[in-house]
Amino acid sequence: MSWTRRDLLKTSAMLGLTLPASTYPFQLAAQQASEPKMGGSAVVAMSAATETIDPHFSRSQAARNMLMHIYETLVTIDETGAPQLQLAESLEVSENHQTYTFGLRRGVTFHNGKEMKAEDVKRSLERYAQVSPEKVRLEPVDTISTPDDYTVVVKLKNPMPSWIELIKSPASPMTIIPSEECDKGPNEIEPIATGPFQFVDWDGVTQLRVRRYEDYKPNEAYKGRDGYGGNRVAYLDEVTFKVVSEASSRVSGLQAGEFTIADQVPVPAAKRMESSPDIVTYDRIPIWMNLAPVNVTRPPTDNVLVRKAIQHALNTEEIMGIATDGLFQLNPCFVYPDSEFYPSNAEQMIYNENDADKAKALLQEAGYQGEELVLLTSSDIASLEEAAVVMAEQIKAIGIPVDVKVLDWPGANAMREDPTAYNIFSTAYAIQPMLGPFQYQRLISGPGNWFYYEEDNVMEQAWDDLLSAGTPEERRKAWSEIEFRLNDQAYFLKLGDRGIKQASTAALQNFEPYDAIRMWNVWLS
Amino acid sequence: MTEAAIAVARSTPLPPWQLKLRRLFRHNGFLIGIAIFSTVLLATLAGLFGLAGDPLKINYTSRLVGPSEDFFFGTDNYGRSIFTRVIDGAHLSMLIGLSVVGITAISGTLVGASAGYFPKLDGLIMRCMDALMAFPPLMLAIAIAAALGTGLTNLIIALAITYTPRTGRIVRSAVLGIRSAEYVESARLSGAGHLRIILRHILPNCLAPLLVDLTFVFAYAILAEAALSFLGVGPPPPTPTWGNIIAEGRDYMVDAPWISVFPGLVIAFTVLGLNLLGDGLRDVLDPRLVKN
Amino acid sequence: MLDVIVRRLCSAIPVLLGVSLVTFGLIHVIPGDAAVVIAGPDASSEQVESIRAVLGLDKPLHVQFGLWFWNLFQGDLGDSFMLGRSVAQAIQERLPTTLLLTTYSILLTIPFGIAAGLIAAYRQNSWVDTFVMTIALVGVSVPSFWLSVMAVLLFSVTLGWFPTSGYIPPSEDLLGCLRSLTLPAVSLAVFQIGLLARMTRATTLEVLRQDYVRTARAKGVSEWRAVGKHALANVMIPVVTVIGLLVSVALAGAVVIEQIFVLPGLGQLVVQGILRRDYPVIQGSLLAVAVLLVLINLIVDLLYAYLDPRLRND
Repeated sequence: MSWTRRDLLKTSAMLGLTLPASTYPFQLAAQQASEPKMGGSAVVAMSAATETIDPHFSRSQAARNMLMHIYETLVTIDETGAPQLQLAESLEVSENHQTYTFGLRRGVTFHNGKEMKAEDVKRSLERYAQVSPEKVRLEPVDTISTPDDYTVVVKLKNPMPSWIELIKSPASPMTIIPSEECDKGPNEIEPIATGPFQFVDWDGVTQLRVRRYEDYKPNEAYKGRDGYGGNRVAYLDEVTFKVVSEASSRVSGLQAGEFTIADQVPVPAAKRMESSPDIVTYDRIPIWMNLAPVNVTRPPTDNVLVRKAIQHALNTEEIMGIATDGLFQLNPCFVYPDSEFYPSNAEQMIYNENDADKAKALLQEAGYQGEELVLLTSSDIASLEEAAVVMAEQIKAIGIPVDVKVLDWPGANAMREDPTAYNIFSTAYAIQPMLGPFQYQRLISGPGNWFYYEEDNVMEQAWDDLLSAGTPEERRKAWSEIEFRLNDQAYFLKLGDRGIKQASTAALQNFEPYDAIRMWNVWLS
Repeated sequence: MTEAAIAVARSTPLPPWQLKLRRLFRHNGFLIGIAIFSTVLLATLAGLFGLAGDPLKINYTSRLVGPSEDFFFGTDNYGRSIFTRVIDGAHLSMLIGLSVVGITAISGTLVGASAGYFPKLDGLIMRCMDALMAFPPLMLAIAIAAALGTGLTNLIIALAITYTPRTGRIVRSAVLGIRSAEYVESARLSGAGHLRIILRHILPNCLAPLLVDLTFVFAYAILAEAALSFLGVGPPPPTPTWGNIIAEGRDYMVDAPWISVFPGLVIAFTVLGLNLLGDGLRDVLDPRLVKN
Repeated sequence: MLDVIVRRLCSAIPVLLGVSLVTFGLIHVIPGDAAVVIAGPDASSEQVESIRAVLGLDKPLHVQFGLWFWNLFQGDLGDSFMLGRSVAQAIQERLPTTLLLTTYSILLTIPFGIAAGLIAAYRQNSWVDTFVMTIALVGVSVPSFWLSVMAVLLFSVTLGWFPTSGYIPPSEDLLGCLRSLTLPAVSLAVFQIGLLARMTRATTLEVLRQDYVRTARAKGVSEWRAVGKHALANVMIPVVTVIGLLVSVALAGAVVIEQIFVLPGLGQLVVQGILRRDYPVIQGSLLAVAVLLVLINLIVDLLYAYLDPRLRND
C-alpha cells in the first residue's frame, strides 16, 4: 500500500499519545514550590561520566543525565514511560500501521539559530540508522519522505503497531540535529540541537556545562514538565554537571555548598541530612531492577531443578536490603507494579521464598553432583556486586559451592557473552522496565537471549502474540505468559526494584526525581 | 674442658655471621620490627585457622554498627565483622607479600646475575628493564593487573613484574662489584664453569643487599595491593584483602568511618614493622656501614 | 655537553619503542572492550556489535596494531573512543594538572625532606634523630590514598578548610587552584618527605665520615660550618639523583590521588581509560608518562653531571 493512497486515521489516542496525566507514579509529597525565578547557576554532582556527547551514539543513563538537557526527539516518553510527542505536533498512523506521518512544530530553532525543518529530521534519522547502537529501531523503515518543510512521512516495510514503542526510547535518543551535521561520523558532530539548554563545553571526563538557550521554543501543547517531554522551561542560566565518583565527596560537597544537587547519595548520609534545614532529599524508587539471568547451558544450572532450587533458596528481601541500603520494593516481575502490563496474579510466582528445605529437596531430586556455580558481576556498580555477594552466601547455604567473579564492567560483559564461563550474572536493567515489554524482546527471546536456551516454543509463541496483539487485553495476556515462562523455567531471577536517594540544597525548587536528573523547570529561590 | 681451652675459645673471634646476628639482636628498631611482624604472623595464623570467625558471614540485622564489644572494629554494610575481615585479610596480605618477594627474588637474581656476569647480555637486559622502569611503578602494575584480569595470582604477577627491574639492578651492581674480585678470577682460572662460579662465588655475596631490598619489596607489595584494590584492579571482592575492606568503606566514609579506618591503621602498622626490619638488616649487613 | 644530550636522547628511543610495544601488548590482552561501556547494562549483543564496528574494534588485532603504529610514526596518537577529542588534546589538557600536582608535592618535599634528613644526621643517635626518623618512617608506611581519604574526612568534611574534590585551573583562580591542590599535594608529599629524609640522612652520615670533613673538624672548624660548607655540597649530588626517583614516585601516587580528588590529570586519564577500555587513551597517556619520566631522568643526569666535576670532564 503506497502512502499516497493511504487512508489516514488518527490513531494517536489508541497508541497512548496522551496529554500529561494528572497523577504521576513517582510524585513527591507536594513540594512548597515558590514562584518560578529566572537566573542563577547550578552544579550537579553526578556519579559517572557520559561516554559521548553524540546523542545517536550514546546509550547509558550517565549520558541521559547530561544530554537530555540539550537534545530533543520527535517522540519521547512522559512521566510513566508512555510515548509523547515532542518535536512533532501531530502523528497520523495509517490504519494498517505501516505509514507514520509526523507534523513538525513550527518555529523550533536549533542552538545555531537555524529553524528545524523536515530535511533535518530526515537526515537525522538517516544518520541514526548508520551510527546508533539502537539502529535496529529503524530497520523496519522502508522510506522517509518530506512532502513539505513541516511534514515527515515514514513508511515501514511491514505493518508494525508497536513501532512508536521502539522510537520513544531515550536510550540512544533519536535526536533531531541540523542536517549539515548528519554526514559526520560517531562522536564527530557538534552538540547542536533544539533543547532548552545549549552546550558550552565538556572536558571529556570530569565536567560538562550547558547554558540556557534564549530562543528555546517551549512546547505549548502541554501544561508543565512531563517525563523527558512536556512544556520544558530553562530557568537557570547555567548548569554544570560534575563527575564526582566518590559518594562521600558528593555528600560533603553538597553540604559545603559546592553542589546544588547530588545524585546517588548513600542512604545513611541521606538520613543524616534529612534533619538539616538546608538540604532536601528525594527518593527515586524504582530507578532500576536488580536481576540475574541464568545460563541454561552450563552445569549445574543446565538442570531446571537446580535453577528452581536456587529460586527457592533466595531471600530477596535480604539481598535487596543490603544492595540498596533498604531503599527497594519487592517485585517478582519485569515491569513495575504501576504498569498496565503488570500481571494481576504476580503473587503466584516463585519469589522471595527463603525456603532452604524445599531448595535442598529440589537439589536432591535434580541429582545434583556438587558442581561449582560461577556467579558473575561487576564492581563498577556497587549494588550489583552487593547483590551477588549476598546471593552467593544464600546459595552456599543450600550446599552449592559458589565462585563469585567480580570484574569491571567491560570485563564482566565480555564474560557474559561466553556461555561456558559462568552460571548466573548479577546485573540491573535501568531503562527497559520503564519503557515496557517491547524493549525486552532481544534480551529474553530469540537467538541472542541472555539465558542461551536454544529453543523455547512457548516463549517465542508468546512474543509473536505480544507483537501482533491488537487489543490491550491481548497484549497484557501475552506479556503475562512471558513473565510466567521466565519464572517457571527460572531463566531470570528477579531480585527486586531498587531506589536511589538524591539530595539538593533547599534553594532548588520544583525538582522531581526521574529516570535522569532534570534541571529544566527548576529554579533557585 | 681445661681452663686453657676455655681461654682459647673466648679469645677466638666469633665468625662474622654470628657477629652480625648479635649486632642485629641489639638493634632496637629491628627488635620492634620483629615484634610487629610476629604480631601480624599471629593474626595470619588466627585467620588461617578461622579463629576470628567467618569473614563472609552476613548479618542483616547488624549492618553499619560502630565498634562495640561484639564487633571490635564495627561492621560493614553487609553486617560483616570488620575485625574478622581484617584478621582474615592478614593471611592474604602475607601471601601476596611473600609471593611477590619470592618471585621477585628469583626473577631479579636471574636478570641481575645474567646482566652483571655476561657483559654481552647486559645491554639488552638492562634496556628491557629500562622500558619497564619508564613507567611509574603503580601505573605499570595497574596496566598489568588489568590486562591479566583481577585476581590474587594476577596481582602477585603484576607486582613481581613491577619490582623485578629494581631488584635486578641491585643484584647486577653487586655482581659487577665482585665479578673481577681475586677469588672469582682464581676460580675461573682453575676451570670452574660459569654456573658454578655464579652459584658458588657470586650469588652468596649478593645475598646481603638482596635480603635488604626484599624486605622493602615486601612492604611496597602490601602498600601496592591496598592501592590497586582501592582502584578496583586488585583481587575481587568479597575477598577480604585490606585494600578491599578500605575500598568497600568508601561510600560510608562519613557515616561509618570505622570500615576504612581500621584496615588502614593495620596496613600502616604492618608496613612500619617491615620497614624497621629492613632498616635493621641494612644497618647490620651493609658493608659501608659496618666499618663504623 | 650537547654530545651527552644527543647520546642520551638516542638511547632513550629504544626504551620508548619498548614502552609502546609493552603498552600495546598489555592493553589488548584486557578482556572486554569500550563497546560494552558505551552500550550500558541493558544492551543486546547486536547493539554492542554495532558500536564495535563504529569504533573499529571489529578489525583483527594485527590490523589495529599496524594502524596505531602507522599513526604514531606520523605523530598521531589517535582519537579517544569516549572523550570526544583526540588523545593528544586530552593529554595536553590534563598534563598541566598532573605537573602542577607533582611539582607542588615535590616543592613541599624537598625543603622538609632535606632539612629533616640533615638535622637527624647531624644529631645522630640523639632523641631528635629518633623523633624525626620515626616520623619519616611512619610517613613511608602509611598508604597515601588512605591518608588522603582521612585528610578529606578531617580537613574538608569536618573542618571545611579545603574543597572535597575538584580542580580549579590556575588561569581561573590562582588561590583557588592552590586550595584545590593542597590536600592532594600534601597527601602525596608525606610519603616522599619520609623517603627523602631517610635518604638524606643516610647520605649525610656517609659524607660526614669522609676524611675531608674529619679533617675540617680536626682543624677546629665549627661543627655547623663543617656540615654546612663541606658536607652539604657533597650531599646534594646524590640527593639530586633522588629527585628523578621522587618524580616517578609522585606520578605513581598521583594515579590514585587524582582518582580520589577527581583531578583531571594524566593518572585519572589512565585509570579511567583502563576501566572503560579506551585503548587509544591508555596507549597514548602511558606513552606520554613514559616520555615524561625519560625526559626528567635525562635532566637529572645532566644536572648530576653539572654538579659533579668528575663527570663534567668526561
